[in-house]
Amino acid sequence: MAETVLEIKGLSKKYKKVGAVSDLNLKVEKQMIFGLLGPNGSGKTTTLGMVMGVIRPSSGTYSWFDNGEKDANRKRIGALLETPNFYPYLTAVQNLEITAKIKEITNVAGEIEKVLKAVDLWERKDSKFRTFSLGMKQRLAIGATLLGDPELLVLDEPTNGLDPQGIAEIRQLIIEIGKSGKTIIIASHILDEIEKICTHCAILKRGKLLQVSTIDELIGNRDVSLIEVGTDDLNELKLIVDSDDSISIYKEGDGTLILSCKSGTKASEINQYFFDKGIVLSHLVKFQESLENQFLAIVNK
Amino acid sequence: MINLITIEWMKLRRLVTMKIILVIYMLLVPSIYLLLSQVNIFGWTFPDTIWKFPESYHFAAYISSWFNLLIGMIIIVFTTNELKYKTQRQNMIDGLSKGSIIMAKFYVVIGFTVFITIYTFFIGFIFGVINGDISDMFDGIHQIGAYFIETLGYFSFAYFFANMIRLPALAIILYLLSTIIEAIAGSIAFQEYVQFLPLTTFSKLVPIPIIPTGGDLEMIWGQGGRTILALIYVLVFVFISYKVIKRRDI
Repeated sequence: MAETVLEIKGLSKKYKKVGAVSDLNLKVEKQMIFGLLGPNGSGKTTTLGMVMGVIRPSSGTYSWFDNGEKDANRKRIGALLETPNFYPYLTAVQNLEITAKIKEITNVAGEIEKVLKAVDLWERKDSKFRTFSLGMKQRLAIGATLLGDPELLVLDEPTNGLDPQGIAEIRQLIIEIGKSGKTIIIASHILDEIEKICTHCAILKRGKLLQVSTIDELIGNRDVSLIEVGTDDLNELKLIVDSDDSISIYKEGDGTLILSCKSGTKASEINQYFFDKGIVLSHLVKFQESLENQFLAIVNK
Repeated sequence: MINLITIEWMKLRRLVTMKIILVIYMLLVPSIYLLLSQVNIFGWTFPDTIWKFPESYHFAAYISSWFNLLIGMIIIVFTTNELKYKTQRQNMIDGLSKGSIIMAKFYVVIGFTVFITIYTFFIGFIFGVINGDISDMFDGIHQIGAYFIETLGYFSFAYFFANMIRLPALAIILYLLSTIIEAIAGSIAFQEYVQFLPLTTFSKLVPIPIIPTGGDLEMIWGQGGRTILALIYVLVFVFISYKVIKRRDI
């Protein structure tokens, strides 16, 4: 069995009777890239704040590395919560020196050089934090989480405030870190991000956990096969579908139809089926529902 | 502990506000002390003894104490900065405990107290040596010890405000107001109660020089009792700060 990195049991946070997070149960195992997905205000940051020791849970417990809620556990975690928090009057290097000192990291100079190069801030190492743009601040915060090569990263909206190129670079960096065998917990409201980076995903809505699964399950978990077809005369095709109980129209596309067929139906079988009925298909592709649609379906249930 | 002190020093040494206030303080105290020799009110001047041992320590400490508010402000600014920049939150996320966060700032309070006390000692010492004999240098030096406690008390009070009140401006205003209110309350009435309030307890540790306070024996007893009371206040400030932060979402 895989090692447990984080276990959350019945965690709740109430702000003046309003529940920000209610009765959350989660388990994150080693080498997972675990996405915490939910719209703004769904309790992602509150949850991470509680397990990172800065927000007091109203009830429930959590445990890092099977070692409880000890403060020292956090020295093994590289974490970025919400906003980049640094001393504005200190330079990038001076700020990271403080982080390194708190985390009791050795080889400070070497580590700082490595992470500043990783987030493309080496050129600005001696600039004061307050002179940084929003994107640079965010990159420095990500750099700080990498200090000392921690076994676990906790990232809350890591691409927040970055430009498209920065977003792509940081995602690539996170994917590479994940491939190197590290565990990552990442909170985001951007579905695309979770889909591209994560192996597992928990969906939160108004502080409640709606679903936990692997990304593959989330995208592909249907008991039907969806196949998108197109032809010159769509009406004729519709008539055929209507007369057959084993196929139905799932959705109408732009000049195409997405058909809902029995699970395991191959595209070639559908092609043969319509050919036998005298229809030549001009378009035939297995359709995969996007995470976005899945997400909306789950959240709006 | 060494680790925490190093971390605080890394943050503090480049804080420009701190440097400016400290330089002002370090210039003001000896200048005022020196300027007192120029005071001439209708022929009345300060007696020469105040620049000589043993009174030089007492006078240096008394003048320094006027400007303790300045150093108190450094402590408030430095402590509330951690809230303003959300770095207290980040320090915790990076692995510090709430206890370490409270203790780290208390070490800063102790650090400033030691620094200010040594500086004040040198002022008293230098004036004493210039105007008298170095062989008398240990006379009256207990005033510097009393001043250490007074300063520790003042700075802990500032630290307490900074921990309680998250808004820097409000913390500074309330810190100043409480000083004024206590002084006014003490001067109109309630002297018998006000003397046990924290700021009055601290300030009476180094009483006003020249004006007799009821004989040496009474004064030493008073200083002893007040030292204990002052230290109790310091402990209470640290303890309440810890309890409050323990309960708080950072």
